[in-house]
Amino acid sequence: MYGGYKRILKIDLTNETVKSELTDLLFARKFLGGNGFGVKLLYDTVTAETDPLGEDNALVIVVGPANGTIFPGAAITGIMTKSPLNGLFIDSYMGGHFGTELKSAGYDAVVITGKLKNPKFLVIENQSINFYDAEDLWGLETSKTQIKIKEKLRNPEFQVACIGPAGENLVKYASVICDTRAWGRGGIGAVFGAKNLKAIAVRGDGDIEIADPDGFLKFTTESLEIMKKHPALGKAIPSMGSTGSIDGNNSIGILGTRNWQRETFENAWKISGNAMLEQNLRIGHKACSSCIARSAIFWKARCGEYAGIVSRGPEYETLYAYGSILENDNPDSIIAADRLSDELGIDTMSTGVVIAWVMECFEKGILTAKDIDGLDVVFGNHKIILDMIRKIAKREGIGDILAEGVKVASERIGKGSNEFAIHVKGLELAGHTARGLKGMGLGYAVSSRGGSHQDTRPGAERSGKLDRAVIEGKPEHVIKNQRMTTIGDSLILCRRHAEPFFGEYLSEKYVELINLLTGFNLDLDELNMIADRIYTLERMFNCREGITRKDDILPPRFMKEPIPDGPSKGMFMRPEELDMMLDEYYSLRGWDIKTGIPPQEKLIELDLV
Amino acid sequence: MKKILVDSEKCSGCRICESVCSYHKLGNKFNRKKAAIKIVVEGELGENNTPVICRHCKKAKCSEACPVEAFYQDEKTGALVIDQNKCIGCGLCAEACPFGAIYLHEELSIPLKCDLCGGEPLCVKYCVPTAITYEDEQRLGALRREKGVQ
Repeated sequence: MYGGYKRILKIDLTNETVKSELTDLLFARKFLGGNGFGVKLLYDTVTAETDPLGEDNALVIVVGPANGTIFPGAAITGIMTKSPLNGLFIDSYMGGHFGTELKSAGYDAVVITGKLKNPKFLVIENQSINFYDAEDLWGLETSKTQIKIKEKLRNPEFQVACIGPAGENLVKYASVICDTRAWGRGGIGAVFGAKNLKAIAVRGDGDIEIADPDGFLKFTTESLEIMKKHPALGKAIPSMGSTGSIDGNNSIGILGTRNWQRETFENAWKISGNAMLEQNLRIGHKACSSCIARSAIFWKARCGEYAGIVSRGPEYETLYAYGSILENDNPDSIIAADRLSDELGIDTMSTGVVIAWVMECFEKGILTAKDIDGLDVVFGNHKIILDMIRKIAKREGIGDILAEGVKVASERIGKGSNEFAIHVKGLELAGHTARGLKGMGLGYAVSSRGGSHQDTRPGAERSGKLDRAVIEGKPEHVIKNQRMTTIGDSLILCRRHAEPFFGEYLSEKYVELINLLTGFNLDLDELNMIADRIYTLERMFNCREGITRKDDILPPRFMKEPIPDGPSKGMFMRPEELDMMLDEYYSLRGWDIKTGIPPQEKLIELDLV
Repeated sequence: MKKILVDSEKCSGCRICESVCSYHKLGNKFNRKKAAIKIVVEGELGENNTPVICRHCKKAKCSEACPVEAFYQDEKTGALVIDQNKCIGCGLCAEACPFGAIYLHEELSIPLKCDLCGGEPLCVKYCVPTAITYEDEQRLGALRREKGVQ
């Protein structure tokens, strides 16, 4: 089929029935794939009344036109659902090889609804879809689950995406793990758990076709040569993954430290990629499908109680979440915490932010040692991190409240603790400042996902390409940047390959790649229109849930407390600054300035009604 | 003669080799299940990747097992290749290969094996971490010795 599009699979777990239909090419041209397919299919499947953990919530698994080809970084698979963490739209993306198998099996998207009567795992092998009993796998950690399923199916070629105990226990930020990769954000693992779905195994034998194979091979081969020579993609990332960002962010004073009470961490160097390399903690690395960055590094803990523990990662976000934000300078403990989080199936970013919040509650006397099950939850104490992760994943003691996420936990505990609960729209913040990068601050505020670093990217401001202290021009930058992330997530491409090669914004190079893959003959205007259509539909999803301008804000800490020390001392997001940027942002997007809701005429223009 | 040398430690498991191989063999399509090179993944976390590819043995078990003498040596590259017209698709060669380097796919009528792409192996060209290289056969073993010396 032209453009490599094949079929959309619909699976009803309640009745264990399956339907598949050919992907409509007009639909494909309107929504491209990945993110676009996912938001449209989800929007049409769930309603404002849907309970995220109820039978009627849907999981939409998507690949895009680039998957399964040799374009570097064309490895990503997305899952969309109504998030149990905040009840809003969530899309989470993972590398690895799941997407290549799914596309080889002949699917552009899989929509899963309903609920299994008892724990099972789903097997998608080409046109045959089967359910297998998973009672004996329930409670198992993620690496063992994957090994057992591959043994049961007697074929190691299967890619197995599964949940661990956290997903089974409906922890609101439980992840789904495949290989050593995670769909981490927004609690997709809890939706699996609520549906009694332990895992999805997929394998395919089909060919992957593209519209212009010769042109594509030429474009890709030339792109590959450029990427290999890029200093970050060709050298730094293959040697230390994203861990180099610890030093980079700390040097300009924007590294989240001590629950963001500070943004400078004196001991950051101890948990940086360079220090970990010097201590010879790296024991190998692994790449996603068609990847040249091979940024998944296996690190081995060498000292103390963690000695011998191996993890794929931590990467930058986890070094932040279990390191600097907890003022923890022990890299071995972070390696161990990263592995434990993956095994239990829990998002490292949300977990770290939650623990940091507990530490500050303890520091301020809002929670006492008795409330925290006797643990010494103080900043800098790495010894309690693994215990806290286990408590949350198993919902034991204080873990039961913490498993609801920092927003709900702070509302329940009260006593002003929401003032330092670090989230946007209920999603805990990633490791990029909202105070020291004005554009990133706006990006977080308007992000469909909430506290995610994947809607708007920090690169242009952090590198000095744009003045990070000013608000002028930032709304336009954020929109152009979001158009890139939206199309990147629709193709679907890895940011680490796409950003160094294509840059921060959409360009003719994107147009060329998409046309070679799909044969659509788009121009840049139409591509921008597709990006706006997808992002506006995400916004509509959230507006349907009651989100308006009042929700496009940052945690109180970022809007009231200036960064106290370090190179970015004094910076923060004044409410009036955010307001000015929001006015301009909505106006450029064509959304209503007062409410932040896309008006009917904009929806008509984007062909969304 | 030149051979493909494999350094598993460098292999990161991106499988671009499988994809370009299938593209070359199938003509303009990607399908890793139809590649003459395969990455075998092992380990609790999938941390070990080993490229498996035909070694073009001098006394080849596959060719010995072939009941119709479909195997012959390419004069230019020295590659052991299968004559499509003679092959009956029985799969005995795949069973006989001690390395598991011959593959069957239900849509293909003859087994898949490496033919060295006529002397310019595409898998080698696209391997970014240089886990597979194409070198004179006297270099076999030398790389391992050199690593040991280091």
